[in-house]
Amino acid sequence: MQISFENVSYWHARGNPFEHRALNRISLDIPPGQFVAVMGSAGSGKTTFAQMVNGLVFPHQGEVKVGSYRIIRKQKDLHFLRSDVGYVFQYPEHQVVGENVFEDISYGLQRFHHEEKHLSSLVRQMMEFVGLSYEEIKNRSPFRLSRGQMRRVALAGALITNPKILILDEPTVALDPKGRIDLLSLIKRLHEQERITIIYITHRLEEALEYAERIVVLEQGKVSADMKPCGVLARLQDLCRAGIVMTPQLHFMREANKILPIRIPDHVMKEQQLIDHIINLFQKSWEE
Amino acid sequence: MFEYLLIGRYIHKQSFVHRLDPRTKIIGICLFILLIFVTNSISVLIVQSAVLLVLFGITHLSFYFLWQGLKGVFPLITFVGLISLVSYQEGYLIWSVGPIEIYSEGIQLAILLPARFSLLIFSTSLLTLTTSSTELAFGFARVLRPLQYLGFPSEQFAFMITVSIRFIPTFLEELDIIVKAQTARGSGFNQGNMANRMKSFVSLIVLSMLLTLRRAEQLALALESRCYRGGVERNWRMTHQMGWRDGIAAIAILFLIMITIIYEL
Repeated sequence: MQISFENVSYWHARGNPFEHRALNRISLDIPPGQFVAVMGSAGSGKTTFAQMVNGLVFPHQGEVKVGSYRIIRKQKDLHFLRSDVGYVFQYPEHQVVGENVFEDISYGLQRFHHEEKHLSSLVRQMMEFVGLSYEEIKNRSPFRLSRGQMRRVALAGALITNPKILILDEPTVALDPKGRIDLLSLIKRLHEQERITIIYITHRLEEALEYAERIVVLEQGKVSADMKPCGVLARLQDLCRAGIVMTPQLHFMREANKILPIRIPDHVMKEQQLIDHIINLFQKSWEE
Repeated sequence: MFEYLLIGRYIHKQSFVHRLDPRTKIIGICLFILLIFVTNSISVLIVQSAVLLVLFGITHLSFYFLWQGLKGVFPLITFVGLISLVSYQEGYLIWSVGPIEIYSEGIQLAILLPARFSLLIFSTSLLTLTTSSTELAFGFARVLRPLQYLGFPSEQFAFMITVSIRFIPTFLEELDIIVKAQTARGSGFNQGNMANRMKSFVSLIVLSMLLTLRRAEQLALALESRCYRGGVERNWRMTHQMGWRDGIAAIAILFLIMITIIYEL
């Protein structure tokens, strides 16, 4: 499903003293199957952007299209859009709808597709995919799970409708390092296997560099940078201005760029890649 | 969705109403609420509304903002008005069609009740919009202080009220997120049959209650970690002295009391 934003603006609490412009004339297209990391400081409009893709908020100006759906308040079939767009919220407890894990995961399927057949096998399949033991936790209350498990339940609940777009709003917040890496690997696997579009909201540049194919940086509701991960070094100033903390690796690369008498290519992002590149240069000059 | 509701919100300005002593505002609003529920005269309610509108006018807040805040509760107010119109059968019969009979007193009640509810919401919103939570806590603690001598835990009660008011916007923000999260999962708050809608609402209420209780527990721990002890009188960072503004406010409220007494007698 193609996502297209054309000159889109949105205000929170429009017309009252708490008014805040969340999106400011945003125009961008996301082709099907792309892994896009959306970054920016708090209040930059990341969540509003993602919620618009799901038809949870509607643009005040401009036009948003997701596949064949136009995101407008009067649109009747947004319910169907939501079955095609899975959304994992920042705090998984907000989207708990079932008394136990089984009910919670299967909820979307029953609501969107009214399917009762093969429910158990589908829930089992989803739970296994996200790394949860079906027999062990299917009857447990979602509130009795750890935060990492709850996040996996939320992910399974979003994936069970077989969405074409998956939105993840800071899914690694409050997870321990292992839980974070496990979840990210799972998302990467999902993207590689299913080729669904992933909109990944994060504050962590290292996650975006490692997993995304494209990085969109929002600053005060505007797109301040839209680039491939390999183009980050050239846009460091934009990132810093948008409040994104640089990774130690990027610091190293920036300093190396200043010191070394060679031009470091864009695709070289890590220390090891830089070492390999220098060795290659040496080998070439030696051969010559 | 709930971003336009006024109650519990505070907007910092330097207006006459903002500078009033919190005690004056609390006592004034309580008396005002008493007056709107005591009066049975539409003319008095009009005068009371006019006074409230003047007060709102001098807060430097926009009337559009007020309209946006109040229109959210209009369906409820209209419902109350309609119910009183058809259910109160006193006075003389004015109109009847089938089982529906409308009486003269019913019409009066259908105007009075919605007006009272609107004024109630408007006046309490005016209090919270112009008084910060610290000032509210101070005001409530001082107003309720005499009750301490009767064994009433006035400090704790004042603190409880202030915390409740302070958390209304936070609660509404969280509710908004929950509604969106559940909508994203297929809950139909505005679609499907009545049974499905009810089911969605029940799940929403249960979840918001659960999260509110969890938040309350965290707040209790946070207060304890900051050495809060109930029943011990607090020192206040701010001290308030009543001034000429409070005198004018007292005169205004006395004026309203007089008018109400004259009309009601």
